[in-house]
Amino acid sequence: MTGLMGSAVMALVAASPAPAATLGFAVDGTEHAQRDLQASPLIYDGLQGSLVLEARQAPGRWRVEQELSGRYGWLSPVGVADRAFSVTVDDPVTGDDEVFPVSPPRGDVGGAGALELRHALGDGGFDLGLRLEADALMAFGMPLDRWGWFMADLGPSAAFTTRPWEGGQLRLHLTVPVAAVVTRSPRSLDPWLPDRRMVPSFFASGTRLASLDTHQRVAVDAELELGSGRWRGLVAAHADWLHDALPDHLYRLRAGLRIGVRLALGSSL
Amino acid sequence: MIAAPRLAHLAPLLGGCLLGGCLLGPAAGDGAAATYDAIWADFDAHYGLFGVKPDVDWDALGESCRALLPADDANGAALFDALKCLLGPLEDNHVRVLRPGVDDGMWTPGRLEDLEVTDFSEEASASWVPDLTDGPLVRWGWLDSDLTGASDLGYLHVRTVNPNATVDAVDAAMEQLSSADGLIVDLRENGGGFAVVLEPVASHFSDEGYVYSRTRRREGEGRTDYGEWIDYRVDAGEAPFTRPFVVLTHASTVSGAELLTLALRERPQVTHVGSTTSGAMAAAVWRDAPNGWAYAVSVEDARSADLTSYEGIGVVPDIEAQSTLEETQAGVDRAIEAAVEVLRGAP
Repeated sequence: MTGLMGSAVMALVAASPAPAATLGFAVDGTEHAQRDLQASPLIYDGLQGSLVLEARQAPGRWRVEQELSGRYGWLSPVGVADRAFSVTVDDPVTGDDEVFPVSPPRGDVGGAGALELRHALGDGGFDLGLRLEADALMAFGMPLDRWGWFMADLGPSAAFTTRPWEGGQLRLHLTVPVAAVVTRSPRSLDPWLPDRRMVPSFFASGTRLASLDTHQRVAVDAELELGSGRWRGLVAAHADWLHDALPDHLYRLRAGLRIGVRLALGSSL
Repeated sequence: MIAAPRLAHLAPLLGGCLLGGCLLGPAAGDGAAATYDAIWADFDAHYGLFGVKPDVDWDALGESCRALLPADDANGAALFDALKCLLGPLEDNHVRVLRPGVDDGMWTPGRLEDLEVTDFSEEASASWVPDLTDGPLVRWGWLDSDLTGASDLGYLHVRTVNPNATVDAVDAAMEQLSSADGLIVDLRENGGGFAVVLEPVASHFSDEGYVYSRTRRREGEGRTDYGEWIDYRVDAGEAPFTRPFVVLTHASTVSGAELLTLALRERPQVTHVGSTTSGAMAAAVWRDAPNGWAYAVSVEDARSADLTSYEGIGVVPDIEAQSTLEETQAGVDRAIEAAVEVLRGAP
């Protein structure tokens, strides 16, 4: 039975040859929820938009993937019904009262880059390898005025690719980093040594090496490539969860949808 | 109105609690008592001025003010009162509580909360400067020689030391005022800002580098355990103004503007005129309370170069001069009058 299924998968894969390399461009909308207890006890949630560039090569049984993205978004606290503050200032000289609305804005800018190398296991569409991913964020607004983090993590990744119909390719992908370099440096945003002079506070935690006991992340995605010509469409859904324990717990949960195109380069394999 | 479903709301449905904890961390209480306790604990861990406020018994305050919380505090009024009880004795203008959804929802335990600043108006000060260049960051021009009885006295009002653009605005003004025989540097109605802005401003008046402030932050378990002193320096300016100048301050000279006052007071050619500054120099950070309120915590102990603390006290000028409310309303500016007297008598 297993052999029959394997044969069927092989037939599907063979029906639509993969290009040797692709270049891709996509737009991504991601719902982003985070709770950084170093900064706030509240959960912040919002939508982030990203532009993504990717390059993939498939020399022989190797799969090489690179990705670069920049994102911007807004976050606001969840479960806080009315977050509008007002401040009244009396001017005794003019006798006027002025009311200033104080609406704490929050914004996030960030970027990510990834390099992944996998090797095909057998002929069933399974690849296994390593993924190195770096992610940087700067948040501004309340609380803390601004803060940010930089994380680069490394861990095993696995992918299963199949072609459910002619001209369509479905890929399921999983990454579980096991080691990381993490900088959480509110206010100074200096990734290496938070500037104690510029950080008038207690948040200068510096850069540390982290392993699974203090840093956990799981990322999954499913992408569908449509078409088999030079230009191919791309639709992908992705989600990831992060917990970084030091110096205080940081949680992040994201889920998003990506739409783009790929340009096939070189001859088909 | 139905709020759109948010990922954070859906987290519990996605198998919410995994790996020994929830996907976005354990739930936090957001009732009045939980909020009060969280704020008390945050100040306990991070407030940077316990070392200069030895009379504050934080444990006793925490206990006695918590007793003000009733079992039911639906609108937060009792919590607001309890926080005033707790934070009031700190007498710190940088400590603030923001309560959403009510008029005048910001409160500070510092002297600015109840102080009416009546000794300054833009109109009164502008009456001395007929061709005043008025911008959002600085105002500058030449004092009216008919009023001063002296020529070539300049006026520079630094409104803020917050955005970096202030540095460029001061640079441009000082380029024009560099030929003055004397200068008034007005720091009244200046709510402060950052060292990276005030230091280049101070460099315009210095032909040498020097330390103007020293700061330390909490390190260790105790409320008065601090790390090393960190020096804040002014560098020598490229073409510094070395002739006499007067710094004007009053109670609304706050925070970074007070540090700029300290920096300028280090210069030999300066006279400090006006009234006492706010007395809030330690930097503060905004924090979220579990119930969605916000509050600011002073997180350092900032002092002058000789380690004098002005927290809750303010910097006292060399020459006291301030208008009454009636004088200000009539367009009289006693501080500028006194400053002109100083500059006219300067060698």
